[in-house]
Parts: sequence; structure tokens; C-alpha cells
Amino acid sequence: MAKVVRFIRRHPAAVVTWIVLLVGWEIAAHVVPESTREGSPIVPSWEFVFTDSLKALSGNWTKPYWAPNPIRGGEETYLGAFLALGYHSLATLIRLVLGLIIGVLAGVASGLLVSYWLTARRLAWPTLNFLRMVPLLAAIPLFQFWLGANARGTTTFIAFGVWVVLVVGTINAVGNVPDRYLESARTLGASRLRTYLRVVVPGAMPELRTSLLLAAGLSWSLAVGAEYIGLRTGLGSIMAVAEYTTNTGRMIVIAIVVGLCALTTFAVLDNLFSRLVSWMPRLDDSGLAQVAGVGAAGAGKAAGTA
Amino acid sequence: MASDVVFDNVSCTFRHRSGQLVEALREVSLEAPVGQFICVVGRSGHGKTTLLRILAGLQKASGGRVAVGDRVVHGPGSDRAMVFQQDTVFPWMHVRDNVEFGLAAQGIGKAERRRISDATLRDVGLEDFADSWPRELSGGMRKRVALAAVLAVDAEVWLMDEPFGSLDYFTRRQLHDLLLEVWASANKTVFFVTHDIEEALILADRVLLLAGGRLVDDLDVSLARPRDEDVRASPEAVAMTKRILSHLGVTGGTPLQPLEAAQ
Repeated sequence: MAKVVRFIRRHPAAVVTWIVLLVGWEIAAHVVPESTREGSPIVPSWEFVFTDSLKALSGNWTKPYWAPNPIRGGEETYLGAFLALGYHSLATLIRLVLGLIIGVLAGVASGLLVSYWLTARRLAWPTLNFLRMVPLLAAIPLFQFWLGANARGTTTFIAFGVWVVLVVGTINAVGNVPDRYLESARTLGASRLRTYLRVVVPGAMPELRTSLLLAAGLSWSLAVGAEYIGLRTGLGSIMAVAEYTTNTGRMIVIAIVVGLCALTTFAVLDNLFSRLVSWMPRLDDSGLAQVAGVGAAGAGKAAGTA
Repeated sequence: MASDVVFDNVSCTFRHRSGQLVEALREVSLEAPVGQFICVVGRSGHGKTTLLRILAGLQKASGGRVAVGDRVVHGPGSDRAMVFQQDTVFPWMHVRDNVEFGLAAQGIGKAERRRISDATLRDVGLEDFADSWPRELSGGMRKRVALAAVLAVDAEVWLMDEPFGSLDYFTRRQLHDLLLEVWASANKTVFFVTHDIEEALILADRVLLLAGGRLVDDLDVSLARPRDEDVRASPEAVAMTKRILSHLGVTGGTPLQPLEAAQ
């Protein structure tokens, strides 16, 4: 509770924005014309989303135990809805986490390997750069044809997408390690390999943060996209069911769950990464104060000349 | 074991990004006996850093030959370790690992590395910071770490490219004292690049003056040590300052006026 209060005190703008959005949505829900299809309001109100729509998700719980199956004439229950959301979130998360781990490890490893040899880097760079530009979502059908529309195929697809981001990011990060570190290592007698392993590799790590977070975001698009197009489990697949039944409220519930899962992924990754580069100078309060101080001095100077 | 440094007719030409050829160093010849503290002085862009980088093996000469004793310089090596102007202490290693970096590269075992790093950290006054991260140290302390890394590998020649340029006056003076102290007990040859004449007079046995890539003067600085304010104000020192200034193109000098007149 104290944490919530502190958050509100520190980020009043964020809190206000959220309240405005939620209230605005609710007003819109009551203002826009009613949809011609029953159970498919154009802007579903929150009370509708978190009662009828949420309960309707129990239709995605098809196991013969724990909760009744509405498809076979059973009652729609909140328990069934939460079981369905949990089950399908877990299905997506497993694919995503596996794909992310494989993709990140493979991407960083191959990026480091390619960067070590100038010729290899020159050969690989144009292709990799092109791959990065290809909208991967458009390649889902092709990948499903190759790998099958199943969990393993989806995991491989995610791993591939993440690999592309990380390999390009790693090559860039290696290239951006300041020369002075390499030169210092060389004058202290380190061989090229030692310099690479002990200086270039750790020196490149901080810059991988952006690629990592980019890949995390991408992995969610790829996972949900692949499931939406061809799978029977996962958040993407129950989104397809929601679309089939034009149940806008269900779509929103699923979107919220995807958003929360993605946020959690970001937070966990960022936390793990911060531990990895704990040596890094942080932009702490004094750093920010310095920047602000420069800004203030600049403004003062500008005012003085004016 | 220790050997003299020899520059034999060394030139360095490279192409500037604009396509123009730049002669950074022109036919420089010199000999530096073991244990001499040499300051290389000159204006920016007149070849000081190029001279140092060629000796370090970080840059190739386009003509001539550089050698330490009978070993011709072909590339970087721990016999010629360098303290750079910028911060080169590896931020991802603890202070001790930074100091031991060159020793590990030589394949020296852990116990021996530890013994040497303990001794060197004590020499530079950082014995209490062995397990700190570099980000926890001040700029002056990080320079001490860089110096300790050079001391640890027991380099024959210490190369210093304006190492204290980014520090405040008092920290710089403290590091001058520290450098002279460790140098006096180590009998190493030092090449110290600076544009600061005061710094050169505090440190050097000998001042090499570079202008337009040429070695234009070679001064023997036989002032008594320590070079305190009185020594640096002696007629001999003032004459030297004037001579250096004239080479730097500051012929008129800065007229010394009484304070009231300045106001």
C-alpha cells in the first residue's frame, strides 16, 4: 500500500493520464451508437468487459475438469475464464521465453563470432541488415509451412526473429566499444584474442540493452501473431476465437493480459540485465543534477545575452 | 636488460579524411638512455602524440626505425606500456583486476599476480580500493589505477600521453609527486607528452620540442629536484621557459603587469 502511495506521489502525471484514459473510454462506451450485433459493442464498457466478456472466456477452457465447458452446454464461469487465461498465457509464455533465450544466446554468440573477423563481418552485414528490414509477421505463413503450425515451430520462429535483432545489435555494440580500451589492453601486452574476450565483449554489453528490450517486444508480436494465424493454444489463438465470435470485450481482456505479460517480460529482462552490468556507472541523481545544472547554466547564459 | 630507446630518421605520413596528405612526423632521430624522464612538448597537431603512438606500436611509421635496444618496434607490447589522456580503466573490472590485467596476459599465476597488485596498489596509495569498481573512484584515483597497471607489468618504457590533462590543478600536482616518486625508485625511461610548460619543468630531465612534425629543440633540464616554486622561478628555469615559448610561437610572451595596472 505504501508503495502504491509512493508511486502516485512520484508519478502524478502517469496516474492522471491513466484515469483520463479509463474514464474517457467509459464515456465513449456510453456515447457511441450501439452495435447491430448483440454482445459486440463497438466500444465495450468496463463493466461489460469485466463481467460478461471475461466470463465468456471460459469458452476457451476445453478441459473436461475443474470448470464446466460452455461449448458442451456448460455454464460460463469466472473460474473457467481464469483457467483459460492462465492456461493460454502459460502456453504463450513457454514458447516466448524459450524462443527468447535461444534467440538471444544464439544472436549474441554469432554476433561476437562474426565481429571477431573483419571479412566475416563484411560478408554477413548486408544480409543481416536486409533481414532486419523484413517484416517478420509477413513471413509467418512461410515459417509455418516449413516448421509446422505447432509449439516447436512457433518457438523456432520467435528464436529466429530475436536472433536477427541480437546479431545486428551485437555487431553494432562491438563496433562501438571505444578504441582507447583496446589500445590500452594492447599496450599492456594482451593478445588480440584476450583483448576481445576480456575487453571487447564486456565493453559491448551495455549497448545490448536496447537490442534486448527491442527483441522482447518483438517476441511478443511474433508469438501472438504466429498463434493467431495457425495455433490452437496460446493468447494469440484465443484472440482469434474472440475475433471469430466478434466479442470485442474478450479481445480487450486478452489484449490487457498480453500487455501485462509483456510488461513483466520487460521488467524481468531489464532486472537481469542490470545485474549483468552492475559495474556500469549509473545515471544516478547526481548525474541527472549535473545535466540539469548544465541546462540551467545554458538557459541563464542565453537569458544573459538576450 | 633495460635498453635505450632509439628513433632513427622516423617519419609518419597519413592521409587526412579530406584527402590531404599530413606529415605528422618528419625525420625524427633521437636516443633516450635508460632511466631518463623525457617530456615531449609542442602545440596541438604538431606530432607529439604521433611520436608516442609510434613508440607504443599503435601506429606504423612510414619511414625510419624505432627500437628499444636491439628490439625493433613492430607492434604494441608490455615493455612499452601507456597511460592515456582519456580514462582507460576498464569499468567492468574491479580495481585489482585492472591492475592485474597485463600480468594475466603474460600468463602469471594468481598468487604472484596478487602479490604484485598488492604492492603496486600500495605504491599508488590505493591499497584500500582493490575491490572497488572504477565508477566508485574519482578521476584522479582512476589515473592512479592506470599508472598501477603500467607499474605492474614492469614496463621498461612508460608512455604517457597528457595523462593528467583532464584533472584539476591540485590533483595533477599530487600525481606529479606520485609519478616522480615511483619513477625515482624504478629506473625507467619515461616519454611524457604535454603542452604544459610548468608540468614539463616539474617532471623532465630533458624536453623535446616538436613543431610541424620536426624535432626543433632538445633541452637538458638540469634543475635541482624537487622542482618547487623557487627552483621553477630561478633564472635558469625562466630562461628555459622563454626558450620553449619561443619555439611554440609565443615570441612576445605575456607581459607581466602589476595587479593594479591590470585592473
